[in-house]
Amino acid sequence: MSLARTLLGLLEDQPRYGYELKHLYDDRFGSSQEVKFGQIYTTLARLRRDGLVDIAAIESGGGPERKLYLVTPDGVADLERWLGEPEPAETYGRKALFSKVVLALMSGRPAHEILDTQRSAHLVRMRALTERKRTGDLADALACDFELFHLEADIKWIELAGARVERVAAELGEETP
Amino acid sequence: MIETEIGGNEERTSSSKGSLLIASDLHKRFGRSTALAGLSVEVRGGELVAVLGPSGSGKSTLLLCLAGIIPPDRGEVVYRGRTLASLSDATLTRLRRDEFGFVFQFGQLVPELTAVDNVSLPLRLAGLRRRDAATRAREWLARLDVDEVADQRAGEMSGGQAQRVAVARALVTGPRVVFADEPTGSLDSLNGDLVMNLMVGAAREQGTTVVLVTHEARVAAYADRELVVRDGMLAEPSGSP
Amino acid sequence: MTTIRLFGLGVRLALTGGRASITRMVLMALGLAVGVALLLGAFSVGPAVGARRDRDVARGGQTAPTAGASRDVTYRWDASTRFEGVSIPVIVLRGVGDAPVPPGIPRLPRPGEVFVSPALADLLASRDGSLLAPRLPGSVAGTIGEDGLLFPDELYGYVGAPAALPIERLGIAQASFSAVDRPSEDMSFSALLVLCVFALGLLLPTGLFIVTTTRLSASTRETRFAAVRLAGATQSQVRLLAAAESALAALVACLLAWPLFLAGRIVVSRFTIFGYRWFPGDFSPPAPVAAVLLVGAPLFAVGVTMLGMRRLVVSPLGIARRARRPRRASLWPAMLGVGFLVLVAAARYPDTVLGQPSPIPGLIVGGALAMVLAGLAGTVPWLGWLGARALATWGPTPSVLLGSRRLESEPTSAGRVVAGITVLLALVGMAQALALSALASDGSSFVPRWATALPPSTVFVSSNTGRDRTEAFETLAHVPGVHSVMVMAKAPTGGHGHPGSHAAVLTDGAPATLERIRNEVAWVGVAQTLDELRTQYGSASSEAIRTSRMMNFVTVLVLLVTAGSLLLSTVDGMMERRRPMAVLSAIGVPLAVMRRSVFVQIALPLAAALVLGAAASLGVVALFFRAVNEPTLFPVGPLVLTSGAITAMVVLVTAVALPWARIARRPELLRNE
Repeated sequence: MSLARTLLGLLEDQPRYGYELKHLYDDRFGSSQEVKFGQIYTTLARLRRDGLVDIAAIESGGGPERKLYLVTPDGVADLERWLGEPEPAETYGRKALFSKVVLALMSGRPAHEILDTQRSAHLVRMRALTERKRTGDLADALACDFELFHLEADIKWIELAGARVERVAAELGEETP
Repeated sequence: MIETEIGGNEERTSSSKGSLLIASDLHKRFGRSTALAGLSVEVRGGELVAVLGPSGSGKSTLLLCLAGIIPPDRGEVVYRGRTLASLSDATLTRLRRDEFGFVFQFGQLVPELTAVDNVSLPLRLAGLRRRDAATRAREWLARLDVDEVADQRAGEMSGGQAQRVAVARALVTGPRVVFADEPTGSLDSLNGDLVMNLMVGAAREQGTTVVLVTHEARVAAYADRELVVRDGMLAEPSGSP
Repeated sequence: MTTIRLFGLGVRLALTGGRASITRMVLMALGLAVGVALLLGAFSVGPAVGARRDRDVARGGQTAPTAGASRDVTYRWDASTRFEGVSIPVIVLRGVGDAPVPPGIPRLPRPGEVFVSPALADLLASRDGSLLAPRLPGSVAGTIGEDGLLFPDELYGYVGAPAALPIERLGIAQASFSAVDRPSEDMSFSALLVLCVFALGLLLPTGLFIVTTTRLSASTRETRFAAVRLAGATQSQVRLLAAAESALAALVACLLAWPLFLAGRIVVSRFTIFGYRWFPGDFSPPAPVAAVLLVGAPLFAVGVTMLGMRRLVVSPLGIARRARRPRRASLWPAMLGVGFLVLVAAARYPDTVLGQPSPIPGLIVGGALAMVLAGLAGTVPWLGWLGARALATWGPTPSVLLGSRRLESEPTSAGRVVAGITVLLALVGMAQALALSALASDGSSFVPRWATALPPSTVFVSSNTGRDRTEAFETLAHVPGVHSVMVMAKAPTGGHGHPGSHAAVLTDGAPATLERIRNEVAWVGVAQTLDELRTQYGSASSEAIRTSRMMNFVTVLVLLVTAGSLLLSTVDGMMERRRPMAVLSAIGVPLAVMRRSVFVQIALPLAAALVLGAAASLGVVALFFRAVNEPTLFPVGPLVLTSGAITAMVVLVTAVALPWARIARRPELLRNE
C-alpha cells in the first residue's frame, strides 16, 4: 500500500508523466533496490480505478509511461489521512534477518560470532551511508539516517538476543548436574 | 605541526606508508580485574579506526595504553618506530602535547577557563605567544562552529558546545593521531552527528589518524574499519580499509 | 518525613559518606571546639583580671585612719629584695591587739618565723637558697595559701618583725586585709586596642577555619544531596539534611570545647601576659555566658551551613550554582571612603575634633577607624578578584593562567584570607605603632653617664636609713668578692631613687657576690647592678616591648591558622577537580605547570594581602596619629617581619599542597569502564 501512497504524494504538487514518477521514486525512495515499471503502472491503474488519480493528457505514440497523471481531490484527501496515521510496527524486509538470527542462536552457535559477523556486514553498508550523509544534502541525510538507525537497531537487537539466549543457557547449565 | 624531538616534518597524507602505531601483546590489570589480556593491534597513518566492544571490555584501557597515558604491565607500544616505554616522562608529555589529540566523553575541559583558554593551552605550552595562540584557537573554534562561546567559561556551556570545543583543542596543534573515547556518549543524536562530522572532516583534511573508541555502531560507521575488543582481547578483525 | 527522622537521615548520610565526609566533620568539630574554647577564654578574661586584682588589693591592706586609731592594727613594712634577677616581695609584719591577718596565712608570723609561698620555699631549700635566707630571717612556719598569692609560682614571703625593728616608724598600719571595690580604671586606648587585636586575632582565623571546613568537599556532598532530591526530598528538606550534618559536628565540638578550655587555662597560667600571671581557676566565664556559648555553637554552625546553601539550587539533576561573581557591592567601598574621609578631616582639624567633650573624639576616631577596617574587609576581596582576572587575561604563562582563573572562579575562599590578613595587618600595625610611640616617649634611662663609665660588675648600694652608713659600708668591704667600696654623694639614679647615702662597690662580678652584698644591706638598703637600674626605671618601655612581642605572636598565630585554611581549600579544590586535572595530564600538560599553578593560587592572594595590608596599615597609622595630634611612627620593623612570615607561609603551604597535584592527576579516572 505504501507504494500507492508514495505515488500520490509525488503527484501532490504537480502532475507528472509515468516515466517521471518512476525516476523520482527510485531517486528518493528506491535506496536498496529499484522498483519495477510494471509495479508502478499496476499501482497507477489501481489508483485510477479507485478515483484517486486521473489522466490529464496522453502523448502521441505513448504507452503508460507517456501518460500525464494528476491527483484528484479524493486522492488528496486519502493522502492527508494516511500522512496523519502512524506506520504499523512491523516493518517490511526484516523478517529474513529475524529468522536467520533466531535460527542461528537456537542452533547453539556462539552469540558473539553471530553478532560480529552480522555487524561487520551491516557496517559496510553503514560506512557507505555515513559517507553519503556527510557529503550529501539534506534529503540524503534524512534518507541515510533512517536506514542507519534501523541498521543500528538490528545490531542492538542481535546483541540483546544473544545476551538473553546466553543467560538462559547458563541457567539451564546450572540446573543440570 | 609543532615539531618534537621524535621526528621532523613528514608528509602526512592518507597514503602514509607503514604502521604508525603498533601495539604488541598488551596486558593490563587494575587490582583484581583484567582490562587487557594480550591484545595486539596495528594502526596505519591516516586511517580512521573504530574500537568496538561492550562496556568493561578494555577498549578505554587500550586507548590509554596506545596514547602512552597508562603503561601496560606487559607488552609494548611502538609509535613511529620508538617504544613508548623507553621514552622519559618529559618526552612522553611533550609527545602527547604536540603529536596527539584527545577527546573524551565528558569532563575534559577546565571549567574555569574560557573556550579560547582551553583550546590555546596546548599551543601556549609549546611556546607560542599568548596572542598568536589565541588567534589560532579562535580559527579552530570558528571551524567547529562554536566561536559564539569563545569567551565563555567551559563550565557554563552546553554539552554539545563543550564537546566541539574539546575537538577544537584536540585538533589545534595539528596532531598526527587523535584518540577519542566515546566522544558522542553524552550528546544527543544531532550534536553527536555534528561533532563526528567535524572531527572526521578535519581529520581527513589534515591526514590525521583517528583511533575512536565507541560501543555504538552508528559512530563506528564513521571509521574506515573496526576492531572488536572483548574481554581484553581482539575478536577477529573484519572489514577492509 | 518528620523533622526528627530527617535529622536522623542527615546524620546517617554524614557518617556513611566515606573518608572525605568524615574528615570534613572531624575538622569542623575541631575548628568549632577551638572557637568555642577561645570564646569561653575571652569571656573569662574579665573575671580573671578582677579576681587577681581583688587578691592584690586584699593583701595590700587598707590603711588605718590616723586620728582615733583603734589599737587592732597590723604594721606592714615592705622589705622587698631582688635575688638572681628576680624581684621577691618580702613583707615584714607585726600585729597589735586583735590584729588583722593577711589572706593566705593562718596567723601572723611571730618574731623568728616566716611564712613563704610554695615557690619561695622551694627556692630557699635549693642550692642557692642560703644566699637568700638572711633576708628572710626565721624558720619557715608554713606556706601561703592560694588566696594570698596572685599566681601559682609566685615568690612571696611574710616575716615576723624582730623585736628590735622600729616597724611603727618604717611601715604602715593596716586596719584590715580585704578586697574592697575600687572604681575601675578606664583602660587606655592602647590597652583596649591591644586587647581587641588579641581577641580578633584569635577569633577571626578560627572563624575563617570553621567556615572553610564547612565548605570542604562541597561538590561531592552536593551530588549526594542531588541524589536525595531525586528520591523525592524538597529543597528545604535537603537544607535540613545539610544542617543535621553541621549540628552533629557542633555537638561533638561542644563536648570537646569544655575540656579544651580547661586544658587551655592551665597552659595560659604558665605564661606571663601583659606582665601578669594567673591561677587557672581565675579563668571562669560567667555561667550564663558559658551556657549560651555551648548552645550557640551548634546554631552558628547550622547557620553558616544554611547560609552557604542559600545560593545553591539543588535539583535532582545535580547542582546548579547560581552565578558567583562577587557583586560589585558599593557598600564596602563607600564605608571605606567615608571612614577615610573622616580620619582625614580629623587629621586636618585636630583641635576641632579633640576639643569636643569626652566621649565624642573617641567615638569619632574609633568609629571612623572601624568603618575603614570594615570597608577594607569588604573591598579587598573584590580588588583581589579584579587582580586575578587581569592576570588571567594578560598573564604570561599557562601556569599563571590556570592559577588565576581558578582564583577568579572561586573568589570567596581566597577573598576571606586576603580580607582577614589585611584587617589584621592594619590593626596590628596600629597597635605596634602605639607601642613604638610609648617606647619613644618613655625617657631613656635615667642613669647618668658617670654611672655607665664604671665597670659592669659594679654594684650600686643605697642605704635608706640615716644612721650607720659608714658601718654598713665598712662591713661591705669584707664581703668575699668585693674589691673596694667607694662612697658617693649622689645616687646613680639621678633625681629618682632612694634618699640616703650611696656607694659604688667594685666586685668580681660573680652573682653570688651580689647576693652577699644584698644580704649585708638587707632591710636597710638596696643593691643593684646597672642593668637592673635600667630595667627598673624603664618599665613603660618594657611594657611596650612586651606588647610588641604579643602583637608579633598574634600575627604569627593568625597567619598559621590562615595558612591552614588556605591549604585546606587548595587541596580540597584539587581533589574535587581530579577529572579535569587527569585530562590535562593526558593532553600533555607537564606536572611542573600544574605545580606552578598551585603556587600561583597560593602566592597571589597572600601577596595581595601583604601589599594591601601593608598599605592599609601604614595609611591607618598615618591618619590615626595625625587625628590624635601626635607624631607619626611607622611600624616598619614589624611590617618587615610580617612580610618574611607571609613569604615563609607561602612556601610552606605550597610545599605541603604540591603532592596532591601529582595525586589528583592519576589517569585511572579516564577509563570509562
